Amino acid sequence: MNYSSLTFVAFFCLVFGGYHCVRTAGQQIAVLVLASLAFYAWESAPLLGVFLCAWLVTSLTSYAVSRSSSHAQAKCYATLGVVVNLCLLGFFKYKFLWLGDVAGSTQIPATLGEWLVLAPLPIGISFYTFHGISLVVDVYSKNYVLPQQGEGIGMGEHLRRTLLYLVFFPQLIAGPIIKARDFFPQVGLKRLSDVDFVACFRILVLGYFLKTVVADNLAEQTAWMAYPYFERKSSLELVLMLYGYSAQIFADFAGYSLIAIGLAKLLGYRLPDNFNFPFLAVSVADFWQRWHISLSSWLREYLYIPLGGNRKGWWRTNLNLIIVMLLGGLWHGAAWSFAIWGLWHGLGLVLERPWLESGLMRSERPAAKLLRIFIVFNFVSFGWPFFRLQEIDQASRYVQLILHSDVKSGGLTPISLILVYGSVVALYHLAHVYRERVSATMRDWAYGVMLFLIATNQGPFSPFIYFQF
Amino acid sequence: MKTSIAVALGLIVVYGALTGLSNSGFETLAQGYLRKNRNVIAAYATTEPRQVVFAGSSLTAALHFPGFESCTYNLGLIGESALTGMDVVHRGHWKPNTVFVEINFPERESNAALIDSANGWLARHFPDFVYVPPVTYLAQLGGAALQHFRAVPAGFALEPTPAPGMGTGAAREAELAIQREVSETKLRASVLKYKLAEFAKKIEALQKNGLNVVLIELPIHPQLEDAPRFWQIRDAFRQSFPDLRLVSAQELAKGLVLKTTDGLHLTAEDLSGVLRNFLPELQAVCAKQAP
Repeated sequence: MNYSSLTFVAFFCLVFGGYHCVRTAGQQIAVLVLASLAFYAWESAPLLGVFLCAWLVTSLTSYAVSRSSSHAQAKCYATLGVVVNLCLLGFFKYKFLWLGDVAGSTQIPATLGEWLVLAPLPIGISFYTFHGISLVVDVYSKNYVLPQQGEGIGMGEHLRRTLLYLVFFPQLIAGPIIKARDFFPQVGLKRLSDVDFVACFRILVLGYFLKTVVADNLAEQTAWMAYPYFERKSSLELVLMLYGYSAQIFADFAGYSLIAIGLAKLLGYRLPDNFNFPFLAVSVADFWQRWHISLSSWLREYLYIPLGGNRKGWWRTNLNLIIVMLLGGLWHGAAWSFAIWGLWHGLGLVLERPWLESGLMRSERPAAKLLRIFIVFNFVSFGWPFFRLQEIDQASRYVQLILHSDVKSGGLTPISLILVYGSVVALYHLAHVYRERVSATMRDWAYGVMLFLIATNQGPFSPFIYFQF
Repeated sequence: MKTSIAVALGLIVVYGALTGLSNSGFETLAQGYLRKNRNVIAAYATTEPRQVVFAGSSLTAALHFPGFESCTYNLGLIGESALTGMDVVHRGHWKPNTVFVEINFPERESNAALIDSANGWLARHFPDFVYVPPVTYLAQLGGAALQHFRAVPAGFALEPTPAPGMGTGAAREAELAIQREVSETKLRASVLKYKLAEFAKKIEALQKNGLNVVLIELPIHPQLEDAPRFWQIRDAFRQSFPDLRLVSAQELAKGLVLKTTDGLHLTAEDLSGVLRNFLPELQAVCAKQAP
């Protein structure tokens, strides 16, 4: 069920109506859980079993951790919860690396073992397993303390709340990843009168605009980045397509995140921001504090810091950065090109570290800042071939052709379209820089124009890029 | 919020009036294809019933049957596969007697969104309003204008391609080389298997409605004909549908030296030769089933 489909709009209206009609928190949770399960089953009913398995393990181990009488016992349950979630993720996502064609085939499985091998990638598994790990670790490290039985939260209630946390449909398929300690305190009775409709309207209009108008129109042009079609493009066109893809993936994912945040807000839940104007980043480290923030913050908290972070000396810090980015890259999919993409960013983080204290990096002069923004944007853009093409030799070939291609450029129309739709992303960032000069009237008009363009200027439909992860 | 909605509604009204008055469109290639495909599907719903329907990709879309217009309907959809065409037939108000199902690109998905959009209320009542995105339109006008004023192409070619330095023949060779490279790689076995199962399901649904299904492999450039990918597809269809008649590319290209525009699409000259070879089949189907 795509967020921009009429089916989804009808589904959401139905849920929204039902949700605000019932009168207790328990009933509201039940409505959301049922709707979310239906939403998930709509996409892949047979794989609901994998999800339910993750939910059961996460709920039981996190509950056991909170009720453990000793630290050793809690550690044991926490380890079990984390390991099972990682195994589910590892098996269902990465079996494709070594099983190749066998996995995902349509052969009808005769046994459970065969089914496990043949099953396709369960939708949203990368996200709900990370949510599960977050809950177990947060309870273990006491970042989130489960209410005691006397406070009305028994095992049954915990199972129900955990189910809501994992399956909450606005963020089920592609995040933003919300930490357990930020989500659970929000569970409670929500009133229609508390919904800030104006804020929701703005978030949703911006999200749909970025996705359907900017990303989908850019997708039409960047489709030529696919192998072997990029072979017939000139170096200039290849670079422009890369910039276009930078803008597209931002508009696609930021658009999706805003839609998820807006929908959750209508239901009374606050999801974390996922993007903070990433193309204004002045260093690679700054970029990762602005891009897919919920994932980078998850990786920092649950991987980088437990590995020792920057507390164990120069070598170990750099190694930790490389490990985290490598695994972060691989998290995106079962292809080695994702690992290279992660490595590219890891190396960027490592190599820039000695320079972070230099005059250029610390300078507040506009020219110096602009230069840093330009360098970071190009660094990020030149990593995308490994993300987009997913075959290492094809991605390498793309980069080679950027450096030298015998093909002369074709027409100006595709270039002008990339420039026009790409400049919307630039304008979006620029509007943030000069936000204090934007009056309320200008802002209202801007939302009006966006709404108009959503109605009239959508690109050909293309699925959200991050839905595949 | 009220101001924003008022602004949007105002712009929509003005824009609707302008597009309604001008009734013109300047589209990107893919949008042009989308529009053509939508028209083909929308017209299927309103056309008089025909005896024969062709479902396929752009290869099928290029086919014309002079003298057989009242007997045939071409559901060739650019960038799609026969799966979409079969769905259109299955969901349509009228049913032909025979459906020719192109097998050349089985890996493509059936495009339900395309069928829905062609049958949507807006598309049926305000097609121009739906099809002309204003920003894209202006950007293309800008691109075209810039190109027009460019005296000497320094690195840029005038549209349409071929690129400078490459004559039509050279461009055709370049396209052919790319297609040759692509066709060297077989489809993933699991993908093909999955798609064949989908074809089987849709063919069975048509047959249950009493339709006669014939598979057809449209000829492509001789250099590609025996490439691993096309061998694999041909063999897979033969093995999966042993009871169905398959009009092979070999039969259709008999006695012809096909040039093609890009390795896959036939030139006008190629097409007339192929149609000559196909004529007896077409005559038989149209004559046999004429009321």
